[in-house]
Amino acid sequence: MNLSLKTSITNVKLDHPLMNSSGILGSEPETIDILIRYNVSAVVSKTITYEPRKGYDPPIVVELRNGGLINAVGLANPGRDIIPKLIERARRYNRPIIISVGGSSVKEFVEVASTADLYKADAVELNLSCPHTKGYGIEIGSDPENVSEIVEAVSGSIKIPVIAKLGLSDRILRSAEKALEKGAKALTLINTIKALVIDVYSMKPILTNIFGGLSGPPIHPIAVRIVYEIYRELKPEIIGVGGVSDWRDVAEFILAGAKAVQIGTALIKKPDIIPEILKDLQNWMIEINIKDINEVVGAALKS
Amino acid sequence: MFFSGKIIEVTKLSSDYYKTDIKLFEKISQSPKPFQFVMLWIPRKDLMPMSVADYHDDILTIIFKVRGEGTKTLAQNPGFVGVNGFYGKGIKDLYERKILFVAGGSGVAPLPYLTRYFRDKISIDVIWGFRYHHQYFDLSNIISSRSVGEIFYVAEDCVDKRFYCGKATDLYQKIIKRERDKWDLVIASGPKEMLAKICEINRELDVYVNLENHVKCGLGFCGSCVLKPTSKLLCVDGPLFSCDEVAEYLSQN
Ligand SMILES: Cc1cc2nc3c(=O)[nH]c(=O)nc-3n(C[C@H](O)[C@H](O)[C@H](O)COP(=O)(O)O)c2cc1C
Ligand code: FES
Repeated sequence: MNLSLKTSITNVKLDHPLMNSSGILGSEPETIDILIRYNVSAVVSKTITYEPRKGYDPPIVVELRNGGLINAVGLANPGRDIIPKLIERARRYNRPIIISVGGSSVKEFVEVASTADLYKADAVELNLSCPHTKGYGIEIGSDPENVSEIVEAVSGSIKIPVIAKLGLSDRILRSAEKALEKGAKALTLINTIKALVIDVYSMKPILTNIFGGLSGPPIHPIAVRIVYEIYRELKPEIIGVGGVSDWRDVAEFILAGAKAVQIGTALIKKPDIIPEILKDLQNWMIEINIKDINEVVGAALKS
Repeated sequence: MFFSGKIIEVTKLSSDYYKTDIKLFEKISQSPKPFQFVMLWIPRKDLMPMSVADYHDDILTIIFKVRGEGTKTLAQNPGFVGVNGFYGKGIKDLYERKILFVAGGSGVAPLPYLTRYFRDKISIDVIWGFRYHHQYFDLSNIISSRSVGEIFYVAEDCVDKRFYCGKATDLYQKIIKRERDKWDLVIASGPKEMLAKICEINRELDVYVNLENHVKCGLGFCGSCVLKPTSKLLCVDGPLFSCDEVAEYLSQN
Protein backbone atom coordinates (compact mmCIF):
# COMPACT_ATOMS: atom_id res chain seq x y z
CA MET A 1 0.00 0.00 0.00
CA ASN A 2 1.18 3.51 -0.78
CA LEU A 3 1.04 5.55 2.39
CA SER A 4 1.77 9.24 2.11
CA LEU A 5 3.16 11.26 4.98
CA LYS A 6 3.90 14.21 2.71
CA THR A 7 2.54 17.52 3.82
CA SER A 8 3.19 21.22 3.52
CA ILE A 9 3.24 24.32 5.67
CA THR A 10 2.85 27.76 4.11
CA ASN A 11 3.39 26.03 0.76
CA VAL A 12 6.77 24.70 1.87
CA LYS A 13 6.73 21.06 0.82
CA LEU A 14 7.70 18.55 3.48
CA ASP A 15 8.52 14.87 3.00
CA HIS A 16 6.89 14.13 6.31
CA PRO A 17 5.36 16.16 9.16
CA LEU A 18 8.24 16.05 11.65
CA MET A 19 10.81 18.77 12.21
CA ASN A 20 12.93 19.81 15.14
CA SER A 21 11.61 22.62 17.28
CA SER A 22 13.62 25.81 17.60
CA GLY A 23 16.34 25.66 20.23
CA ILE A 24 17.43 22.12 19.53
CA LEU A 25 20.81 22.80 17.90
CA GLY A 26 20.64 24.94 14.75
CA SER A 27 22.61 28.01 15.78
CA GLU A 28 25.78 26.95 13.93
CA PRO A 29 26.15 25.38 10.48
CA GLU A 30 27.87 22.32 12.00
CA THR A 31 24.86 21.50 14.09
CA ILE A 32 22.58 21.67 11.04
CA ASP A 33 24.45 18.56 9.86
CA ILE A 34 23.32 16.86 13.05
CA LEU A 35 19.67 17.83 12.56
CA ILE A 36 19.82 16.42 9.03
CA ARG A 37 21.09 13.14 10.49
CA TYR A 38 18.12 13.22 12.84
CA ASN A 39 15.93 13.12 9.73
CA VAL A 40 13.95 16.35 10.11
CA SER A 41 11.72 17.25 7.14
CA ALA A 42 12.66 20.88 7.62
CA VAL A 43 15.41 22.44 9.69
CA VAL A 44 14.26 25.03 12.22
CA SER A 45 17.07 27.27 13.41
CA LYS A 46 17.70 28.36 16.96
CA THR A 47 16.03 31.73 17.53
CA ILE A 48 18.34 34.32 15.99
CA THR A 49 18.45 37.88 17.29
CA TYR A 50 19.85 41.07 15.79
CA GLU A 51 22.98 41.09 17.94
CA PRO A 52 24.84 38.02 19.27
CA ARG A 53 23.61 36.94 22.69
CA LYS A 54 25.66 35.04 25.22
CA GLY A 55 22.63 33.76 27.09
CA TYR A 56 22.61 32.89 30.78
CA ASP A 57 25.44 31.26 32.66
CA PRO A 58 24.94 27.55 33.40
CA PRO A 59 22.91 25.91 34.86
CA ILE A 60 20.72 26.59 31.83
CA VAL A 61 18.80 23.33 32.02
CA VAL A 62 17.55 20.76 34.51
CA GLU A 63 16.31 17.27 33.66
CA LEU A 64 13.27 16.44 35.75
CA ARG A 65 12.19 13.07 37.06
CA ASN A 66 8.81 13.33 35.35
CA GLY A 67 10.43 13.33 31.91
CA GLY A 68 10.21 17.07 31.56
CA LEU A 69 12.98 19.56 31.08
CA ILE A 70 13.28 23.09 32.39
CA ASN A 71 15.56 25.40 30.45
CA ALA A 72 16.66 28.99 30.62
CA VAL A 73 19.19 29.32 27.85
CA GLY A 74 18.46 33.02 27.43
CA LEU A 75 18.32 32.94 23.63
CA ALA A 76 22.06 32.42 23.25
CA ASN A 77 22.86 32.76 19.54
CA PRO A 78 25.52 34.21 17.23
CA GLY A 79 23.34 37.03 15.89
CA ARG A 80 21.94 37.69 12.41
CA ASP A 81 25.24 37.30 10.53
CA ILE A 82 24.98 33.54 10.94
CA ILE A 83 21.75 33.35 8.93
CA PRO A 84 23.27 33.00 5.41
CA LYS A 85 25.58 30.26 6.69
CA LEU A 86 22.71 28.32 8.21
CA ILE A 87 20.69 28.59 5.02
CA GLU A 88 23.63 27.58 2.85
CA ARG A 89 24.21 24.51 5.01
CA ALA A 90 20.59 23.33 4.78
CA ARG A 91 20.68 23.91 1.01
CA ARG A 92 23.56 21.47 0.69
CA TYR A 93 21.12 18.83 1.80
CA ASN A 94 18.24 20.22 -0.21
CA ARG A 95 16.27 20.54 2.98
CA PRO A 96 13.83 23.39 3.70
CA ILE A 97 14.97 25.74 6.45
CA ILE A 98 12.85 27.91 8.68
CA ILE A 99 14.69 30.70 10.46
CA SER A 100 13.39 31.37 13.96
CA VAL A 101 13.46 35.10 14.58
CA GLY A 102 13.64 36.86 17.93
CA GLY A 103 13.81 40.47 18.96
CA SER A 104 13.18 42.99 21.69
CA SER A 105 11.63 45.54 19.35
CA VAL A 106 9.62 45.63 16.13
CA LYS A 107 12.66 46.91 14.30
CA GLU A 108 14.82 43.98 15.42
CA PHE A 109 12.22 41.46 14.30
CA VAL A 110 12.03 43.15 10.90
CA GLU A 111 15.81 43.33 10.47
CA VAL A 112 16.44 39.70 11.32
CA ALA A 113 13.49 38.47 9.25
CA SER A 114 14.72 40.59 6.32
CA THR A 115 18.11 38.87 6.48
CA ALA A 116 16.38 35.49 6.29
CA ASP A 117 14.33 36.80 3.37
CA LEU A 118 17.37 38.18 1.55
CA TYR A 119 19.13 34.81 1.67
CA LYS A 120 15.93 32.99 0.77
CA ALA A 121 15.06 30.92 3.77
CA ASP A 122 11.87 28.97 3.18
CA ALA A 123 10.03 30.78 5.96
CA VAL A 124 10.55 32.64 9.20
CA GLU A 125 9.06 31.60 12.51
CA LEU A 126 8.61 34.58 14.81
CA ASN A 127 9.42 33.58 18.36
CA LEU A 128 6.80 35.61 20.23
CA SER A 129 6.78 33.33 23.22
CA CYS A 130 10.05 32.60 25.01
CA PRO A 131 8.99 32.45 28.68
CA HIS A 132 12.33 33.22 30.32
CA THR A 133 14.08 36.01 28.44
CA LYS A 134 12.96 39.38 29.61
CA GLY A 135 11.76 41.65 26.86
CA TYR A 136 12.11 39.01 24.16
CA GLY A 137 9.27 36.62 24.61
CA ILE A 138 6.01 35.91 26.24
CA GLU A 139 5.58 39.50 27.39
CA ILE A 140 5.33 40.29 23.70
CA GLY A 141 3.33 37.25 22.64
CA SER A 142 0.70 37.42 25.34
CA ASP A 143 -0.28 40.93 24.30
CA PRO A 144 -2.36 40.68 21.12
CA GLU A 145 -1.55 44.29 20.24
CA ASN A 146 2.19 43.60 20.22
CA VAL A 147 1.69 40.48 18.17
CA SER A 148 -0.36 42.46 15.74
CA GLU A 149 2.26 45.15 15.36
CA ILE A 150 5.22 42.79 14.93
CA VAL A 151 3.51 40.44 12.49
CA GLU A 152 2.22 43.31 10.41
CA ALA A 153 5.64 44.97 10.21
CA VAL A 154 7.44 41.74 9.33
CA SER A 155 4.84 40.52 6.83
CA GLY A 156 4.92 43.90 5.14
CA SER A 157 8.67 43.85 4.66
CA ILE A 158 9.50 40.33 3.47
CA LYS A 159 8.41 38.01 0.70
CA ILE A 160 8.90 34.61 2.37
CA PRO A 161 6.07 33.24 4.53
CA VAL A 162 5.73 34.28 8.16
CA ILE A 163 4.87 31.77 10.86
CA ALA A 164 3.99 33.09 14.33
CA LYS A 165 5.02 30.97 17.30
CA LEU A 166 2.78 31.61 20.28
CA GLY A 167 2.94 30.42 23.85
CA LEU A 168 0.44 29.58 26.53
CA SER A 169 -1.43 32.66 27.72
CA ASP A 170 -4.98 33.64 28.55
CA ARG A 171 -5.29 35.63 25.38
CA ILE A 172 -3.67 33.20 22.98
CA LEU A 173 -6.81 32.99 20.83
CA ARG A 174 -6.86 36.73 20.38
CA SER A 175 -3.12 36.79 19.62
CA ALA A 176 -3.59 34.02 17.07
CA GLU A 177 -6.42 35.90 15.43
CA LYS A 178 -4.34 39.08 15.21
CA ALA A 179 -1.31 37.25 13.82
CA LEU A 180 -3.35 35.68 11.02
CA GLU A 181 -5.15 38.90 10.27
CA LYS A 182 -1.86 40.76 9.89
CA GLY A 183 -0.32 38.29 7.50
CA ALA A 184 0.98 35.20 9.32
CA LYS A 185 0.49 32.19 7.05
CA ALA A 186 0.72 29.62 9.85
CA LEU A 187 1.02 29.30 13.63
CA THR A 188 3.44 27.26 15.70
CA LEU A 189 1.79 26.25 18.99
CA ILE A 190 3.19 26.22 21.72
CA ASN A 191 6.43 27.27 23.37
CA THR A 192 7.69 26.12 26.77
CA ILE A 193 5.69 27.11 29.86
CA LYS A 194 7.23 29.26 32.57
CA ALA A 195 8.28 27.09 35.50
CA LEU A 196 10.62 26.75 38.48
CA VAL A 197 12.74 23.99 40.00
CA ILE A 198 14.28 24.07 43.49
CA ASP A 199 16.98 21.84 44.98
CA VAL A 200 15.50 20.74 48.30
CA TYR A 201 18.82 20.29 50.13
CA SER A 202 20.60 23.54 49.31
CA MET A 203 17.09 25.07 49.24
CA LYS A 204 17.93 27.10 46.16
CA PRO A 205 16.48 27.47 42.68
CA ILE A 206 18.73 25.50 40.34
CA LEU A 207 18.68 27.61 37.18
CA THR A 208 20.90 30.68 37.14
CA ASN A 209 17.94 32.63 35.79
CA ILE A 210 15.76 31.11 38.55
CA PHE A 211 12.79 30.71 36.17
CA GLY A 212 12.83 28.58 33.07
CA GLY A 213 10.55 27.08 30.46
CA LEU A 214 9.03 23.63 30.95
CA SER A 215 9.04 21.28 27.98
CA GLY A 216 8.57 17.57 27.38
CA PRO A 217 5.76 15.12 28.19
CA PRO A 218 4.24 17.15 31.07
CA ILE A 219 3.12 19.91 28.67
CA HIS A 220 1.76 17.71 25.90
CA PRO A 221 -1.94 17.65 26.82
CA ILE A 222 -1.88 21.42 27.25
CA ALA A 223 -0.36 21.86 23.80
CA VAL A 224 -2.96 19.54 22.27
CA ARG A 225 -5.70 21.56 23.90
CA ILE A 226 -4.35 24.81 22.47
CA VAL A 227 -4.00 23.37 18.97
CA TYR A 228 -7.54 22.04 19.16
CA GLU A 229 -9.06 25.31 20.33
CA ILE A 230 -7.22 27.50 17.84
CA TYR A 231 -8.03 25.12 15.00
CA ARG A 232 -11.66 25.03 16.01
CA GLU A 233 -11.97 28.81 16.04
CA LEU A 234 -9.70 29.89 13.18
CA LYS A 235 -8.79 26.87 11.03
CA PRO A 236 -5.26 28.11 10.31
CA GLU A 237 -2.28 26.02 9.26
CA ILE A 238 -0.74 24.82 12.51
CA ILE A 239 2.58 23.31 13.53
CA GLY A 240 1.96 21.50 16.80
CA VAL A 241 4.75 21.38 19.35
CA GLY A 242 5.02 20.36 22.98
CA GLY A 243 5.85 17.14 24.70
CA VAL A 244 5.90 14.74 21.80
CA SER A 245 7.62 11.54 22.82
CA ASP A 246 6.06 8.96 20.51
CA TRP A 247 3.83 8.52 17.43
CA ARG A 248 0.66 8.71 19.50
CA ASP A 249 1.50 12.25 20.58
CA VAL A 250 2.07 13.22 16.95
CA ALA A 251 -1.20 11.59 15.91
CA GLU A 252 -3.00 13.55 18.61
CA PHE A 253 -1.62 16.84 17.31
CA ILE A 254 -2.70 15.98 13.78
CA LEU A 255 -6.17 14.96 14.87
CA ALA A 256 -6.44 18.24 16.82
CA GLY A 257 -5.65 20.20 13.67
CA ALA A 258 -1.89 20.34 13.14
CA LYS A 259 -0.47 19.82 9.64
CA ALA A 260 3.08 19.43 10.91
CA VAL A 261 4.70 18.69 14.26
CA GLN A 262 7.92 19.81 15.88
CA ILE A 263 9.91 17.81 18.39
CA GLY A 264 12.24 19.33 20.97
CA THR A 265 12.91 17.57 24.24
CA ALA A 266 12.36 14.07 22.87
CA LEU A 267 14.89 14.70 20.12
CA ILE A 268 17.46 15.54 22.80
CA LYS A 269 16.74 12.37 24.70
CA LYS A 270 16.42 10.13 21.67
CA PRO A 271 18.09 11.39 18.50
CA ASP A 272 16.74 8.54 16.34
CA ILE A 273 13.12 9.16 17.33
CA ILE A 274 11.94 10.60 13.99
CA PRO A 275 12.34 7.49 11.79
CA GLU A 276 10.78 5.46 14.57
CA ILE A 277 7.72 7.70 14.80
CA LEU A 278 7.31 7.75 11.01
CA LYS A 279 7.22 3.97 10.90
CA ASP A 280 4.70 3.82 13.74
CA LEU A 281 2.53 6.48 12.10
CA GLN A 282 2.34 4.36 8.97
CA ASN A 283 1.18 1.38 11.00
CA TRP A 284 -1.47 3.59 12.52
CA MET A 285 -2.56 4.76 9.06
CA ILE A 286 -3.00 1.16 8.00
CA GLU A 287 -5.05 0.44 11.10
CA ILE A 288 -7.38 3.41 10.62
CA ASN A 289 -7.42 2.84 6.89
CA ILE A 290 -6.13 6.07 5.41
CA LYS A 291 -3.63 6.57 2.61
CA ASP A 292 -2.76 10.19 3.15
CA ILE A 293 -2.00 11.70 6.54
CA ASN A 294 -3.74 14.93 5.51
CA GLU A 295 -7.07 13.11 5.53
CA VAL A 296 -7.15 13.20 9.33
CA VAL A 297 -5.90 16.72 10.06
CA GLY A 298 -8.44 18.09 12.53
CA ALA A 299 -10.43 14.85 12.50
CA ALA A 300 -11.04 15.05 16.25
CA LEU A 301 -13.26 18.08 15.68
CA LYS A 302 -15.63 16.39 13.32
CA SER A 303 -18.71 15.10 15.04
CA MET B 1 19.26 13.80 35.45
CA PHE B 2 19.76 16.11 38.43
CA PHE B 3 20.80 14.51 41.71
CA SER B 4 21.27 16.29 44.99
CA GLY B 5 24.40 15.39 46.88
CA LYS B 6 26.48 16.21 49.91
CA ILE B 7 30.21 16.55 50.13
CA ILE B 8 31.60 14.03 52.58
CA GLU B 9 35.14 15.29 52.48
CA VAL B 10 37.63 17.34 50.55
CA THR B 11 41.25 16.20 50.54
CA LYS B 12 44.14 18.29 49.41
CA LEU B 13 46.40 16.13 47.25
CA SER B 14 49.14 18.61 46.39
CA SER B 15 49.69 22.32 45.89
CA ASP B 16 46.82 22.67 43.38
CA TYR B 17 44.98 19.37 43.29
CA TYR B 18 42.07 18.29 45.42
CA LYS B 19 39.86 15.26 45.66
CA THR B 20 36.32 15.31 46.93
CA ASP B 21 33.87 12.54 47.72
CA ILE B 22 30.22 13.36 47.15
CA LYS B 23 27.41 11.27 48.59
CA LEU B 24 24.41 11.17 46.27
CA PHE B 25 21.04 11.13 48.02
CA GLU B 26 19.52 8.80 45.50
CA LYS B 27 20.39 5.44 44.08
CA ILE B 28 21.50 5.84 40.51
CA SER B 29 20.11 3.04 38.41
CA GLN B 30 23.01 2.88 36.03
CA SER B 31 26.64 3.30 37.04
CA PRO B 32 28.69 5.59 34.84
CA LYS B 33 31.18 4.38 32.29
CA PRO B 34 34.78 5.53 32.47
CA PHE B 35 35.28 8.93 30.79
CA GLN B 36 31.69 9.94 31.29
CA PHE B 37 31.38 13.24 33.10
CA VAL B 38 29.03 15.18 35.34
CA MET B 39 28.07 18.82 35.53
CA LEU B 40 28.73 19.67 39.15
CA TRP B 41 26.56 22.41 40.58
CA ILE B 42 27.79 24.64 43.39
CA PRO B 43 24.49 26.22 44.42
CA ARG B 44 24.08 29.72 42.94
CA LYS B 45 27.82 29.89 42.20
CA ASP B 46 28.89 27.73 39.30
CA LEU B 47 28.31 24.68 37.14
CA MET B 48 31.39 22.82 36.04
CA PRO B 49 32.02 19.81 33.84
CA MET B 50 34.01 17.25 35.84
CA SER B 51 35.24 13.77 34.93
CA VAL B 52 34.00 10.90 37.02
CA ALA B 53 37.20 10.19 38.90
CA ASP B 54 35.68 7.34 40.85
CA TYR B 55 32.29 5.96 41.68
CA HIS B 56 31.08 3.26 44.05
CA ASP B 57 28.14 2.80 46.44
CA ASP B 58 26.51 6.11 45.46
CA ILE B 59 29.69 7.99 46.24
CA LEU B 60 31.09 10.05 43.43
CA THR B 61 34.71 11.16 43.51
CA ILE B 62 35.96 14.23 41.69
CA ILE B 63 39.59 15.25 41.28
CA PHE B 64 40.06 18.90 40.48
CA LYS B 65 42.50 21.73 40.26
CA VAL B 66 41.60 25.10 41.74
CA ARG B 67 41.06 27.52 38.85
CA GLY B 68 38.10 29.84 39.28
CA GLU B 69 35.39 30.81 41.71
CA GLY B 70 33.63 27.43 41.49
CA THR B 71 36.62 25.20 42.19
CA LYS B 72 37.75 27.56 44.95
CA THR B 73 34.41 27.16 46.69
CA LEU B 74 34.52 23.43 46.12
CA ALA B 75 37.91 23.20 47.81
CA GLN B 76 36.36 24.87 50.87
CA ASN B 77 33.56 22.28 51.05
CA PRO B 78 30.27 24.03 50.24
CA GLY B 79 28.20 21.20 51.77
CA PHE B 80 25.28 20.48 49.49
CA VAL B 81 25.87 20.30 45.77
CA GLY B 82 24.04 19.10 42.66
CA VAL B 83 25.21 16.47 40.24
CA ASN B 84 23.87 16.40 36.69
CA GLY B 85 24.77 13.34 34.72
CA PHE B 86 26.13 11.07 33.64
CA TYR B 87 26.98 12.72 30.36
CA GLY B 88 28.78 11.55 27.24
CA LYS B 89 29.20 8.06 25.90
CA GLY B 90 32.34 7.21 27.78
CA ILE B 91 34.48 4.28 26.74
CA LYS B 92 33.29 1.12 25.07
CA ASP B 93 33.95 -2.18 26.76
CA LEU B 94 37.54 -3.36 26.85
CA TYR B 95 38.85 -6.90 27.13
CA GLU B 96 42.41 -7.98 27.70
CA ARG B 97 43.87 -4.69 26.61
CA LYS B 98 47.30 -3.41 27.48
CA ILE B 99 46.83 0.28 27.89
CA LEU B 100 49.20 3.20 28.06
CA PHE B 101 47.41 6.11 29.72
CA VAL B 102 49.02 9.48 29.04
CA ALA B 103 47.69 12.34 31.15
CA GLY B 104 48.43 16.03 31.30
CA GLY B 105 47.46 18.03 34.41
CA SER B 106 43.93 17.37 35.61
CA GLY B 107 43.49 15.02 32.64
CA VAL B 108 44.58 12.34 35.08
CA ALA B 109 41.19 12.51 36.84
CA PRO B 110 39.42 9.62 35.00
CA LEU B 111 42.20 7.13 35.87
CA PRO B 112 40.94 5.71 39.19
CA TYR B 113 37.52 4.88 37.78
CA LEU B 114 38.99 3.43 34.59
CA THR B 115 40.97 0.97 36.67
CA ARG B 116 38.09 0.19 39.00
CA TYR B 117 35.61 -0.38 36.18
CA PHE B 118 37.67 -2.81 34.13
CA ARG B 119 39.67 -4.32 37.00
CA ASP B 120 41.65 -7.27 35.73
CA LYS B 121 40.33 -7.06 32.19
CA ILE B 122 43.03 -4.52 31.44
CA SER B 123 46.57 -3.74 32.42
CA ILE B 124 47.60 -0.15 32.44
CA ASP B 125 50.79 1.88 32.56
CA VAL B 126 50.63 5.59 33.20
CA ILE B 127 52.51 8.70 32.16
CA TRP B 128 51.41 11.75 34.12
CA GLY B 129 52.80 15.14 33.26
CA PHE B 130 52.35 18.36 35.20
CA ARG B 131 53.93 21.79 35.05
CA TYR B 132 55.40 22.22 38.53
CA HIS B 133 57.00 19.63 40.82
CA HIS B 134 54.81 20.72 43.74
CA GLN B 135 51.71 19.61 41.86
CA TYR B 136 52.82 16.00 42.21
CA PHE B 137 50.91 13.50 44.27
CA ASP B 138 51.26 9.74 44.41
CA LEU B 139 48.70 8.29 42.02
CA SER B 140 48.81 4.88 43.67
CA ASN B 141 47.07 6.45 46.68
CA ILE B 142 43.92 7.15 44.67
CA ILE B 143 43.83 3.94 42.69
CA SER B 144 42.13 0.94 44.21
CA SER B 145 42.98 -1.64 41.59
CA ARG B 146 46.02 -3.79 41.01
CA SER B 147 45.77 -3.40 37.24
CA VAL B 148 48.17 -0.47 37.25
CA GLY B 149 51.75 -1.33 36.42
CA GLU B 150 54.28 1.39 35.96
CA ILE B 151 53.66 5.06 36.67
CA PHE B 152 55.97 7.66 35.14
CA TYR B 153 55.86 11.21 36.45
CA VAL B 154 56.91 14.09 34.25
CA ALA B 155 57.43 17.69 35.40
CA GLU B 156 58.01 20.63 33.14
CA ASP B 157 59.92 22.67 35.71
CA CYS B 158 62.69 20.05 35.94
CA VAL B 159 63.66 20.79 39.55
CA ASP B 160 62.83 17.49 41.22
CA LYS B 161 65.05 14.61 40.18
CA ARG B 162 62.32 12.04 40.84
CA PHE B 163 60.44 13.21 37.77
CA TYR B 164 61.29 12.95 34.13
CA CYS B 165 62.14 16.42 32.88
CA GLY B 166 59.93 17.78 30.10
CA LYS B 167 56.43 17.18 28.89
CA ALA B 168 54.29 14.07 28.99
CA THR B 169 54.45 13.98 25.20
CA ASP B 170 58.27 13.94 25.27
CA LEU B 171 58.38 10.85 27.41
CA TYR B 172 55.59 9.28 25.40
CA GLN B 173 57.48 9.80 22.17
CA LYS B 174 60.56 8.25 23.64
CA ILE B 175 59.07 5.12 25.14
CA ILE B 176 56.62 4.44 22.37
CA LYS B 177 59.53 4.28 19.96
CA ARG B 178 61.44 1.92 22.18
CA GLU B 179 58.71 -0.37 23.45
CA ARG B 180 55.95 -0.11 20.93
CA ASP B 181 54.70 -3.67 21.27
CA LYS B 182 54.18 -3.35 24.98
CA TRP B 183 50.74 -1.73 24.55
CA ASP B 184 47.84 -2.19 22.20
CA LEU B 185 45.84 0.87 23.19
CA VAL B 186 46.84 4.42 24.06
CA ILE B 187 44.43 6.73 25.88
CA ALA B 188 45.49 10.33 26.27
CA SER B 189 43.73 12.87 28.47
CA GLY B 190 44.64 16.51 28.85
CA PRO B 191 44.88 19.83 27.03
CA LYS B 192 44.14 20.02 23.32
CA GLU B 193 47.71 20.74 22.18
CA MET B 194 48.95 17.70 24.05
CA LEU B 195 46.30 15.48 22.48
CA ALA B 196 47.04 16.79 19.00
CA LYS B 197 50.68 15.92 19.55
CA ILE B 198 49.91 12.42 20.81
CA CYS B 199 47.81 11.75 17.75
CA GLU B 200 50.69 12.83 15.51
CA ILE B 201 53.44 10.87 17.22
CA ASN B 202 52.22 7.43 16.32
CA ARG B 203 49.59 6.80 13.70
CA GLU B 204 49.71 3.02 13.76
CA LEU B 205 48.68 2.43 17.35
CA ASP B 206 45.07 2.51 18.46
CA VAL B 207 44.95 5.96 20.08
CA TYR B 208 42.00 7.59 21.84
CA VAL B 209 41.88 11.10 23.22
CA ASN B 210 39.74 12.45 26.06
CA LEU B 211 38.77 15.98 25.03
CA GLU B 212 37.76 19.08 26.90
CA ASN B 213 35.60 21.81 25.41
CA HIS B 214 32.99 24.33 26.45
CA VAL B 215 30.07 22.41 27.86
CA LYS B 216 26.95 24.40 28.69
CA CYS B 217 23.99 22.06 28.52
CA GLY B 218 25.62 18.62 28.56
CA LEU B 219 22.58 17.25 26.77
CA GLY B 220 23.28 17.93 23.12
CA PHE B 221 21.05 20.89 22.31
CA CYS B 222 23.04 24.09 22.84
CA GLY B 223 25.84 23.35 20.39
CA SER B 224 28.54 25.00 22.51
CA CYS B 225 30.64 21.81 22.61
CA VAL B 226 30.58 21.11 18.87
CA LEU B 227 34.06 20.15 17.72
CA LYS B 228 34.32 22.41 14.70
CA PRO B 229 34.72 21.85 11.84
CA THR B 230 33.34 18.37 12.51
CA SER B 231 29.72 18.00 13.57
CA LYS B 232 30.54 15.91 16.62
CA LEU B 233 29.22 16.99 20.00
CA LEU B 234 31.63 16.40 22.85
CA CYS B 235 28.84 16.04 25.40
CA VAL B 236 26.95 13.39 23.47
CA ASP B 237 29.46 11.62 21.23
CA GLY B 238 32.50 11.94 23.51
CA PRO B 239 34.41 13.04 25.38
CA LEU B 240 36.60 10.13 24.25
CA PHE B 241 37.31 9.95 20.52
CA SER B 242 39.70 8.10 18.26
CA CYS B 243 42.32 10.36 16.70
CA ASP B 244 40.72 9.86 13.29
CA GLU B 245 37.32 11.06 14.43
CA VAL B 246 38.64 14.40 15.63
CA ALA B 247 41.68 14.92 13.40
CA GLU B 248 40.22 18.05 11.78
CA TYR B 249 39.34 19.52 15.17
CA LEU B 250 42.76 18.83 16.65
CA SER B 251 44.55 20.38 13.68
CA GLN B 252 42.92 23.75 14.39
CA ASN B 253 44.18 26.07 17.08
C1 LIG C 1 16.59 23.71 25.46
C2 LIG C 1 15.47 24.38 24.75
C3 LIG C 1 15.72 25.55 24.05
C4 LIG C 1 14.69 26.19 23.38
N1 LIG C 1 14.95 27.32 22.65
C5 LIG C 1 13.96 27.87 21.92
C6 LIG C 1 14.21 28.97 21.05
O1 LIG C 1 15.33 29.46 20.89
N2 LIG C 1 13.17 29.50 20.35
C7 LIG C 1 11.91 28.99 20.43
O2 LIG C 1 11.01 29.49 19.74
N3 LIG C 1 11.65 27.95 21.25
C8 LIG C 1 12.64 27.38 21.97
N4 LIG C 1 12.36 26.29 22.78
C9 LIG C 1 10.99 25.77 22.84
C10 LIG C 1 10.81 24.61 21.88
O3 LIG C 1 11.00 25.03 20.55
C11 LIG C 1 9.43 23.98 22.03
O4 LIG C 1 8.44 24.95 21.72
C12 LIG C 1 9.18 23.45 23.43
O5 LIG C 1 10.35 22.87 23.95
C13 LIG C 1 8.09 22.41 23.48
O6 LIG C 1 8.41 21.26 22.74
P1 LIG C 1 8.99 19.90 23.38
O7 LIG C 1 8.15 19.56 24.54
O8 LIG C 1 8.93 18.90 22.26
O9 LIG C 1 10.39 20.21 23.78
C14 LIG C 1 13.38 25.66 23.45
C15 LIG C 1 13.16 24.49 24.17
C16 LIG C 1 14.18 23.83 24.81
C17 LIG C 1 13.89 22.57 25.56
S1 FES D 1 27.16 21.20 25.80
FE1 FES D 1 25.34 21.73 24.82
S2 FES D 1 25.43 20.54 23.03
FE2 FES D 1 27.11 19.82 24.16
